[in-house]
Amino acid sequence: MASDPALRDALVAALRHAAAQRGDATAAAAEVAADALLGLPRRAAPAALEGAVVAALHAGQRGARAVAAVADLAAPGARPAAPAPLAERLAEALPSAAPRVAPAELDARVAAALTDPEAGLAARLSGSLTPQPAPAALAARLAAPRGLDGAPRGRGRFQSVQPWGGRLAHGLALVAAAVLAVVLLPGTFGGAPGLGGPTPAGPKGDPSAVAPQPRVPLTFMVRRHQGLAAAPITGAERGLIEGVLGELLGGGS
Amino acid sequence: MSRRTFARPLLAALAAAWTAACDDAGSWSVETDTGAAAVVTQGSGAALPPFLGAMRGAPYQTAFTGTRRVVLHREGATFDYIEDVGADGTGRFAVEVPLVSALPPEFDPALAAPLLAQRGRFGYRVRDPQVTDLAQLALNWDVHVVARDARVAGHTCWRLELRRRAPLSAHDVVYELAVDPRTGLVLAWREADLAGQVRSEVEYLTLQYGGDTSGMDLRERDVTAVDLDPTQDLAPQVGAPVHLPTLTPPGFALEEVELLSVPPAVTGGALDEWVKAVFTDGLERVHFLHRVDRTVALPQAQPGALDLVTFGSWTFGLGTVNGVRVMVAGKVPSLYLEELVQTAVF
Repeated sequence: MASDPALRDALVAALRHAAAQRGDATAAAAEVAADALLGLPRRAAPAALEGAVVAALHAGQRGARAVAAVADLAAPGARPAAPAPLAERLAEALPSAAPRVAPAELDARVAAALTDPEAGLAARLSGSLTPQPAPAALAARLAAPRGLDGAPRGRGRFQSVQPWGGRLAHGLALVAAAVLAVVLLPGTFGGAPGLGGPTPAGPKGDPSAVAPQPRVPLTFMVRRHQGLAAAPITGAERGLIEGVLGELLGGGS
Repeated sequence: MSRRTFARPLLAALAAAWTAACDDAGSWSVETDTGAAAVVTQGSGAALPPFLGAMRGAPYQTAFTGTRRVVLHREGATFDYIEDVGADGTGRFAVEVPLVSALPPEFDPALAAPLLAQRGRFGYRVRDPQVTDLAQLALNWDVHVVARDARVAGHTCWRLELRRRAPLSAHDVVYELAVDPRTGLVLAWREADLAGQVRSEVEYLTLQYGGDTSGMDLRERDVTAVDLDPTQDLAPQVGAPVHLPTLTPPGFALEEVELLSVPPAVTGGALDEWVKAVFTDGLERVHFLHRVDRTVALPQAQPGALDLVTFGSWTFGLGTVNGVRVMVAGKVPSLYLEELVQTAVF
């Protein structure tokens, strides 16, 4: 196999240098060794190596390749661990560089951003809005505690001798009202059907039938209506619904 | 005298006789030659009746004319009317309403017949029971053969009862069908809840295969619909983002996806386009639709709301959720419809 003279010279020089370091070889031995090495059959480079070389030298898609490379680093087990002694020395010399575990919240935020980037963008946009101050009239009303009937505290039914008693009673009443609303109107915010709102015509039917259980949390509001008239709907949408159901809906047709 | 005008007195007489029969018997008018019905149960382990597979295409691939009575019990009111139905076997069909016997009070009787005829075409396609997928039917429904010799409009039918194997709720639906085994055409059907309360009854009073449809307004679908390929990316097919639910009611699987175009004449404004995804459990269907939005807008910060209305066995919802106008309908517990919306637009 013909070899490149420059390559042979470089190899002989490297072998001589190595022999000199050991002090046990001659120049002739280095040349023989170089010829022997150059005489070995050449092995083809792995295709992946050729691809990597081309990718490294090719200017196109550099950004995409960089992203892919970073993404590969993020894969579990992709990053080689530093040798333990190196990590120890680094920790001694630079305590702030010691490996730390990211907070779970950060992982959750990254996962949420990757799975639903639009929601993340919406949250950031809404979070950057400047909070508007409450109207002065509202502040004035809060400054003067009142009973549930709207009268200034002291004349209402929830009169209290404590300075904050009116607000406390008001707050407790609101909490009680909220609990009642949840108990009495379970379907208002995506609760299980059949417990509130309109029920289909007829008796309850087979009592052995199991009520469906939620499989995913709902993040939107559900409003139940007794009839079509109360639901906000356009004429075109009414026609579409009737087409989907194959029914003529009441309530204003 | 046209055929329609001539037929009305006859239809009225037929309807009156049918009503009397129902009132007297207090039950379906389908009778069997053998008297007491010998109930033969054919559940999941047994072979399904061979004609079930033909039921889906039968209303369109069978040439016939017939007159049927439709009785629908909806929210305390009753629709009771006669339909003239015809099909030429090539996909075109007609539904006309020559006689209306009972209507909910809010309907104007003068407008009821054309409205019922228009909606009746949709009912013919989506309300009338049909086997949408035989394999799924075998998985999700028990098919009981009640009789093999029921007579409907002079034709011998198999009388079947279909119950969902695992009821989705206490308000589940039970179907009784009278099917002509030669064609797969459903000549009578009744829908009731698990307690036996009837919600819908339809029965052909007359039916003639290969009848004369020359005087009928035969048409295919009324809404312009383009079939989409759900095995491919849907957004390029629509030219806009497409939202499909990822969580369906138990036993339901995607059947088809369409792009519907509601013309400006109907909307009163611009062309209205909706993507419609249909899920089926072999017999029932659940529909999810969302309006096509070709504008580039910022994500909506408001989660939105869904308005739910129950109508007969149906529950349908309409709302704007996460900035997407959505519509959902099905004879399943509303929770499953809410989950369709949740997993589609979030």
